[in-house]
Formats: sequence, C-alpha cells, structure tokens
Amino acid sequence: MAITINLLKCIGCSMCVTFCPVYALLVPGDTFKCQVDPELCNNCLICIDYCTSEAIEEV
Amino acid sequence: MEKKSCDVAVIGSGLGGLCAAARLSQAGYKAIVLEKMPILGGRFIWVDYKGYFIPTGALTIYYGQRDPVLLTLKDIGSRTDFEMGAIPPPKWRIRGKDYEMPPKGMLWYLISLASRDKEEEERVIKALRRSFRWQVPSDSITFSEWLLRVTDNRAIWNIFQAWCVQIVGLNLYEISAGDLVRCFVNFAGGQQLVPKDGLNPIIDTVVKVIEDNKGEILTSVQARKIVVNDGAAEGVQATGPDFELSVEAKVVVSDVGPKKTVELAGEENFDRGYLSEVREIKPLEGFWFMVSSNGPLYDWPGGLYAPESRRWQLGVDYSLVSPKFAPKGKNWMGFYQAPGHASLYDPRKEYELFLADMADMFPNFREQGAEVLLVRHFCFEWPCVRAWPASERHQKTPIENLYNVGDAVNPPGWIAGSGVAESARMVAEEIKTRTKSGA
Repeated sequence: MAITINLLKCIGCSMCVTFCPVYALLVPGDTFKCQVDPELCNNCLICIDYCTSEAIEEV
Repeated sequence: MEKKSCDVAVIGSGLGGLCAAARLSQAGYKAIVLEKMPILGGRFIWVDYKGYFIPTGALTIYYGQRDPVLLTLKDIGSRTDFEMGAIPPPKWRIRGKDYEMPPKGMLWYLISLASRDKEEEERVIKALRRSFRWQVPSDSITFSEWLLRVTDNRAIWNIFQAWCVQIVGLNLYEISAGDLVRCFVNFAGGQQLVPKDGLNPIIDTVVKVIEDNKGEILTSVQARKIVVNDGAAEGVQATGPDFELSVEAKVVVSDVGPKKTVELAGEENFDRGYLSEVREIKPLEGFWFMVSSNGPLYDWPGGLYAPESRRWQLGVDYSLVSPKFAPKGKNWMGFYQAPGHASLYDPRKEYELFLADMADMFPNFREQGAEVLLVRHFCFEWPCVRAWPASERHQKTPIENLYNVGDAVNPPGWIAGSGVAESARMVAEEIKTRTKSGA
C-alpha cells in the first residue's frame, strides 16, 4: 500500500499535512500542491481520510 | 445495509451543521449527523501540529452581545464560560510609524491619522456615520467606489482595505458597499477573541448538547446520496469504513454547500433556474501563512496592521495570546492574505509577495529563526467562505424538507462563524414551524 497524489485535484489546503502522524507531507508555498516524502511516509493512509478534494488515493 | 431513522439528518459537522443539530436536538428532534472526516468541526477547530496549536480555518470569534455564536450557545443551554484571550487592539503601521489604538473609537482615530486635514476627516466621518445610522449604501456599487466619492486619500482607502481583507476576506474593490457597512454595524461593539484552548471547546459543547439529547454523530461516514421522492427529501444514504448506511429522515440539513447538496440530491430534481444560481456561487479564496520563530517578531500581543504592505495586512502572534499555542521558546504568527484578484491570480506570485512583505515588516525575521510552518490555500470545497458576501442565498432548496446551512447561506451582514451560526438558527426555526418532532 502507498499513496498517490493527484496534483490536478489537490488544492493545497494542508489538512493532510496537519494530520500526518510522521510529518511526511508538505505543501510548499510556491506551488500550493501537496508533496509526500517517501522516506518518511509509513503508508498509514490517514491522509486519505483528511483530504478535502479526494486528491490522495491508495495505490 | 444498516438502517436508522430520525427527524433530522445532518450532512457535515461544520459549525453550521452542529449548531442546527444542537438547536433541533434541544427542541426534541432526533438528529443524526454524518461526517466524512474522522474529526468534527470542519474549518472551525484547532489541531496540534508539531507542538503548535493551529486552526483548520477559523481563528477567532467576535464575541459581542449580538453574536450568533454566543446566542446559539445560550439558546441551547450550553456553557459560555470559555476562557477567552482577548486580542488587544492591534497597532497600525502608517507611513512607517506604529500607532497604538484607543480601546474605543479606533476607526475614527485611524481616519484622523490618515486624513490630510480636519475638513477631510470630518467629511469622511460624517459620510460613514450617515451610512451606519441612516441609509446603508447600495449593494450595486463596491465599497471602494463609495469611498472614492467621499475622498481620494489613498491612506484612508488603505485602512479600509486592510480591515476589509481581514474581516470579510475580500478586497475593497470586490465587496459591495452595503455589505461592508452591514458588517461594520453588526460587529460594532464586539470583541475579537481567541478561546485559550482554541475554538474546539465551542464545538465540544455543541456536540455535548446533541448527544445529551439523544442525537447521534457518526464520523468517517460519507453521505453518498440524498434520497428524494416526489419532490421531497426522505433521507440520506451513506458509506462508513466497512458498512453501508441508510438514514430515513423527515428533514435533511446539508452543511456541505449548495453545490455538493445538488450533487448528492441529483441535478434532475432541481429546476434550471436554481441550478444556474447555485453554479454562480463563487467561493472566497485566500491563504493562511503560519510562521514559527524563536521568540516573537514583535513585542505586543495585539498584532500589527500594515495597510501599506503589498498583500498581508495583519499579522498576529497567537502564541502571545496563549502560551499553549506554541512549544516553549517558540512563537507562531498567522497571516491571512487575500489574492489581489479573486479569479486571476498566481499562487506562486502571492507567496513571493508574502515573503517580500515579511522582509519589509520584520527585517530580522530570518535571524529570529522564522520559517513558514504551514500554508493553507482555501478554495473550491475547502474555501475561506463558500460564497461571496451579498450573493444569492439558498437556505431552503426547491426540494421540500431539504435545507442548506453554513457559510454559503449566511444572511447578509453576517460573516464567518457568526454568519454560519445565524444560518443554522434560521433553518432550525423554519424546521420547528414546519415539521413536528417524533413519530
């Protein structure tokens, strides 16, 4: 299990960033699109529950 | 499929959905709230992030005696004794100098500071007083147009622009003159407050009223369909983590915005005129920049208005309001920024302007270890506000027993949490007059 982020759907609300337990997600101010750090991500999938735009999906 | 029945099914647990459910629960209606996220409160709660206590959306409430949030808490018989951190009047940086504000009459004082002479000051104040006390200006012109008829003084314009962006989230050349004046009047005498535990205790106390009155609140349950039969709403179908749910209800209240409500109920159940009006609802977009630092970037808790800056017009160090909001030895400041134009803007450019303003306002911000902790871009289904002020409102829908609450349908002159709570009050009152509780 892992996540994929659809950048066309992501709005940069940072809700997933806020609730990621291992701080693996980031929304840089110059893109307003979510990025995941694969080194930190533990694939817990919690971010999917908090995504406001259905941009994060399990793969 | 699991089945439940109730008087009122509420979709979404934002402030509007919860206030409506609490009002109706307290009046004897059996309510079931469906929330797709694992948490309650939507854009009205604070969360822990890396030891900082930060908002998902709303930061403060305006706790005047007429404030609908306070009135809701009183009406539902819940506690109102939250420990509040009053934000003292901010300083205003005008022509490079920082001015402390008087506890009362801040607007008149600012106009006196910015006016070129006494005659101009008196002219502006007289026009404003007339608009407050005699006739609210037309909604067919912007406040900018209205103000420019009174004065061409850029410094005065900048003051109103700064205030408008922070309070309403729109630029002065985007908001109608009538709506900004109504906001002035409604919020007059109120005080901007941050509960010392964030806004969560307000949500918690509203939730308690629902649960104490036999209401149910289901998290991680996403509404999939509003069941409509013969032009009337009859319930909601939803999906939980590992179950399907069918909720039969006399009334459905949606707190997910009119667009999503239409999607859930099916476009075929609405007439073309209503669909057209709903499509035209524009969400209000904006940015939250939250900056952490090793100590405060300024030394008073009320914040700093910067009406002559490029974009952000107010920065507040919330950890000076309550030390609980940041780890020991750290601070965080919040900056709300409205894009220069609602539909034609480049987020990258907005970020550059934010950093440029930071460098101007706090030349030492890098030395203080300041860095962007988090950015939030509010838009589409997670907007600053779901509808521009003074736009068409749709609390009742063409489908019988289907209502909207929340910041897309707040009454004119009420904004943010206050407007949301007022929309919930109006819908709850309507339901009480039309629908009996119980079997």
